Amino acid sequence: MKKKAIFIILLIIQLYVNYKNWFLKGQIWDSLEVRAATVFSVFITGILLLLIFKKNLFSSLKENDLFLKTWREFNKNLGGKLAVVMLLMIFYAAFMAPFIAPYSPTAIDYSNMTYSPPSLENWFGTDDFGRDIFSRVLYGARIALGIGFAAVLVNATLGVTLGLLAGYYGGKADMIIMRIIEIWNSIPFILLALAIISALGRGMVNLIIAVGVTGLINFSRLTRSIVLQIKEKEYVEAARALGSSDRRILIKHVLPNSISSLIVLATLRIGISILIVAGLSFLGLGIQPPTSAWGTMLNRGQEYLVQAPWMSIFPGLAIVITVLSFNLLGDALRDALDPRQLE
Amino acid sequence: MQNKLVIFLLTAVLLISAFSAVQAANHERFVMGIEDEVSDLDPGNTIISVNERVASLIFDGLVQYGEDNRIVPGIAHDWTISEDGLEYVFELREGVLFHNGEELTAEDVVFSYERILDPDFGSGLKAKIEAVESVEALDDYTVKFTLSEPYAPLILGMTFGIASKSYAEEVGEENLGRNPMGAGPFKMEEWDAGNRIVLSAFEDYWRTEANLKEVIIRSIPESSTQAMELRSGGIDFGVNLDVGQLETFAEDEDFQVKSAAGAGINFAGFNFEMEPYNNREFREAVIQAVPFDQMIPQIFGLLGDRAYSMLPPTLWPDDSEYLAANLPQFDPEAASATFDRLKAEGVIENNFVAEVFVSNSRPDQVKVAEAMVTALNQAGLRAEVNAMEFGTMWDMLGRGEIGLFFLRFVSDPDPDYWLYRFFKSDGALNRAFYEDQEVDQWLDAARVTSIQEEREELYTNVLRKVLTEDIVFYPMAHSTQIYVMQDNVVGLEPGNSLLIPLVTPTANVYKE
Amino acid sequence: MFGYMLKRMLWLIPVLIGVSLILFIIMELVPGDPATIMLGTNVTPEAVEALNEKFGFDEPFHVRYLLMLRNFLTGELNSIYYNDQVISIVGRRLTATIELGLLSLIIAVLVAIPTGVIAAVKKNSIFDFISMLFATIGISVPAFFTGIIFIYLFSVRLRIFPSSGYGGPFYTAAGMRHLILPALALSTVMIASTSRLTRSSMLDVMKEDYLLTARSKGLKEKVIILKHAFRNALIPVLTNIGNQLAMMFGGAILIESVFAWPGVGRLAVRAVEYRDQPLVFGSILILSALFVISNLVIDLLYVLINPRISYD
Repeated sequence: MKKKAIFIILLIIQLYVNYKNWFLKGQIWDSLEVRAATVFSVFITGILLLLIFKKNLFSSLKENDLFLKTWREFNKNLGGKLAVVMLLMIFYAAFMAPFIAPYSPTAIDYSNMTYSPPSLENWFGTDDFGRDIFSRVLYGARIALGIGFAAVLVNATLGVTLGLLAGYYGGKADMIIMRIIEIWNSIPFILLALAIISALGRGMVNLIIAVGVTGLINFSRLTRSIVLQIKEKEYVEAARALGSSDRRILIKHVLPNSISSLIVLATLRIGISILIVAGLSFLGLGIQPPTSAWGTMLNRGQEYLVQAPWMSIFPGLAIVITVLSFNLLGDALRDALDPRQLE
Repeated sequence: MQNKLVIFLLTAVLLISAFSAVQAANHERFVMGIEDEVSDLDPGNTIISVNERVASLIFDGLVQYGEDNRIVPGIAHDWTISEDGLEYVFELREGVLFHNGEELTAEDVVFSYERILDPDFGSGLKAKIEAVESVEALDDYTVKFTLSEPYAPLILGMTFGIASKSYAEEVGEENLGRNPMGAGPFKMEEWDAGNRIVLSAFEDYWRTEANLKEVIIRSIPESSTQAMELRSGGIDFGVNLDVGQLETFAEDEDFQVKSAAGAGINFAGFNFEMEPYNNREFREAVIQAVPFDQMIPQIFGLLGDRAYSMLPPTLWPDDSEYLAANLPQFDPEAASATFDRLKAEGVIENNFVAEVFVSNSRPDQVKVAEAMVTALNQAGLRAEVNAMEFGTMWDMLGRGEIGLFFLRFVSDPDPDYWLYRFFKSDGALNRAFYEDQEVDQWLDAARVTSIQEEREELYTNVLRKVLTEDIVFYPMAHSTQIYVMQDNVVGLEPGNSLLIPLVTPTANVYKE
Repeated sequence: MFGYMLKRMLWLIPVLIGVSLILFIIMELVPGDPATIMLGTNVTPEAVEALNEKFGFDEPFHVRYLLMLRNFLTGELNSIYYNDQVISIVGRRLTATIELGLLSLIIAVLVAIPTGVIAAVKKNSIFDFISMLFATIGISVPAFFTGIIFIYLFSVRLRIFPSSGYGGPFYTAAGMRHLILPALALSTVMIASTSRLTRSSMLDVMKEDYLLTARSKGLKEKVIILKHAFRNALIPVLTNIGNQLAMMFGGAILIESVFAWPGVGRLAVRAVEYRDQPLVFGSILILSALFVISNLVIDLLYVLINPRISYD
């Protein structure tokens, strides 16, 4: 019953937000970001309704032994649960920013371009252009998550492919691939990213590429070691004896078995990617202004550290909390998905 | 047990070092923070600003900058210019000594200038004295420069530092940059690359011995680190603080903040070979859409003054009244209307995004770009900031790939340096790819004549044409030179961005 | 053992060739030529040409690569921006970087491993909770931000340490005073991750059978922990330190910038900014070599800790 009450309250809040934006402000389908928010809020409303009215939503899942064990294990972990709640909030902020941000993140009042401390109107204060920091931090969530996920996707795709190839074929191919990755890894990643951005130019896509190709070694080493373990298992031998192609074996048997470790690694890498982007922002290579991005805001805040510390504190906290949540989630998942405990 | 011992020892070391006497305040030691790393102190090759400024402490030139940047005698106590403007004869002081005790003679002057003029040496300073055909020593204390054509700003090139010929032969010419030795007020003691340079006062300096016996120059590129160094007392003097940090120092009684006009012009420029930037109406609307008059003072603060001309306020001719009234004025409605019309006419394509290119090492310019882009978007023109490394930007500019750019430019105090290279059709810095016969003629004419009134008129014509009629560039702000120092520093006045005025014809800095 | 070491040292050669080739290709793609950048607003076509000729930028790709490699090895490679030999420029900064790296590694190990062990032994105590809380937060803070905060606290407010710069070799008082803050800032991430790992690895080991046997034999708890558990727990910890080295090298570059530390990392950043190809080449090669060597050292430590591992 307690859970139900919470869901109902959440639903009311969500409906209120929708009402305010769709009917009072008329923001439904104007621009890409408003559209994303509209779709997302319909989705959230649907989920909440399901949670409230359909009791047996998870019953089929609960019958699954593996899932149940993981779930129980995860539930023991306070940090993991906290991380899930925080990440849900961050995701919500990222998608719904145009609906919940009290002010525009970019509009400037040219007659009064100056910072002001946190107050009732501006919860996190305003920056040196008089822009609301709370709104900017909300909008910044989408940049951070977007780049974090995209970079890890690039990272994982490249790393896993190379690791699969190296592990499965072994021998010379293995040696060459792993040696190349080792060489690549021995260039300090910040310098590599710096050089890549200098070569490709600045911009979101190039930033994703630059962050995405650093630290390949983590994914490929992990994948390779899992492949090596699985390769010796009987069912793979059997499948090969039955004449399955290499590709089929890799995709059908090897990949599914490594997925849980990969998820854990990916979760941790998202946090690291967000930190790398912050580091590049410090070197002046982050997201272009006026787009609000946490790293860029933090870098700008440095200039006003003495007289307007809120300019650095809030974007800094946003980075720390997000990275922390991904790290906690990664740890919790590692404990929950630990193959030794499942067997 | 061993572990404990190690931990104990380490803690002891940490504690001792932490509480060992904080360096005693030394009145004769002056520590300054500069914004970049000194890389090369060869006086024939000082084209990078920090190198030039540090070299100015070690080397002296034939002439020097005095009050209000007027040229005053240096090593040369007197000079004459022939009537046709083709011959410059300099009389050197007798008894001027290099740091190694040898006397400076005409031979050293000839040596110093001939290496700059040598095309194989590839000096970036050559452009400033290109008109010189030959340099010869008439006797030990007389040098004659012969020019191929009259060139009024030549005298500024006579401020280049003089190196010793015999010393250069001794250490090898290619090693001069790391082992500088001149006849300036300070001599090199220690150069810990990337960290600090230690200079000491030269007792036999021809003018007067410096009050500061030891000068330590530290490169601290991060402005926030430099601000913290000042606050913690680690440096006496800092030069590259951002506006946010300056505010707090200006209010603090323990620090002096001094500013002087004329450290360069910040301007926006358009590419005349790229659409739609080559359309005058478009350029005008871009300027009209942005409230520069409101933005500039708030963004630049102490770091700059609103500019209406390309020339710094310390330089002639002063035409800012006319220019201020005739530059495009803030008018967002008119701008919106123009953008709409140009879109309908197809001058602005549907998916066009105006990119403002700016160097990411200039935080004030990036801020202006940020505010400008916001205003342009409001006026109905999609715009983005593209803040990139200066290197990449400079290269793209040269290849004509940039339509709208911000630059900061600083040069020696003669209008020719500020205008010729930008607006002459074949000018070395004509990044707008601007071509206009009339402007070309005016610029050439002003180089040949040395009559001040004529030159003033010609330069006024040029400025009115390029800024108000053709809108090639739009001046935004004159950077001011800002010195932040501890309150016990006396006599250090900003004014010339090409040198660090510790010992000048009018000042000899000391600490109370 | 010796054979293994030799093999690993020889591995340096293909790594450096590979790294140099990667760098060369990337720098080739970077727009902007150093002559134009260096001349800045003093640029004239003749001056650019003179500089290009001086540094041989006109040759074709493979010729320039081989030339650069040869010149680097013979020590003749000249930086464009500094007008000096790359070897000597990098050499002068190498000590600063190594001092910074080593001290922060030492701090990290001295703080993190005892913390992790105590947290594991006193599992679920207040100490465990607080230290692990800090550790988890510690890996989530950008290193440069830690640096700025440290300067503000220890240098501006408390005035204990100087804010920035290099004060001399580490064994002098001034040198140590300058070194401590950047080393502390750099070590935070390493401390955080290593103490977490030490704790979990200790917990794993303490569950193992042989410890139960040892206990049942009546050995003292302290002896058990230090003699048996700790030693075995160290292996994954070492692996983690090895993995964290990459993060540390990356962080060092930012820390060097924040503290105006005259190290190779900051030099490399400048070199990329100025398109100073020879210097990019030299400085990053040195950093990569350092990285490979530190990994080698860690491999050797494995053997020291666990004599059962052999590499023959």
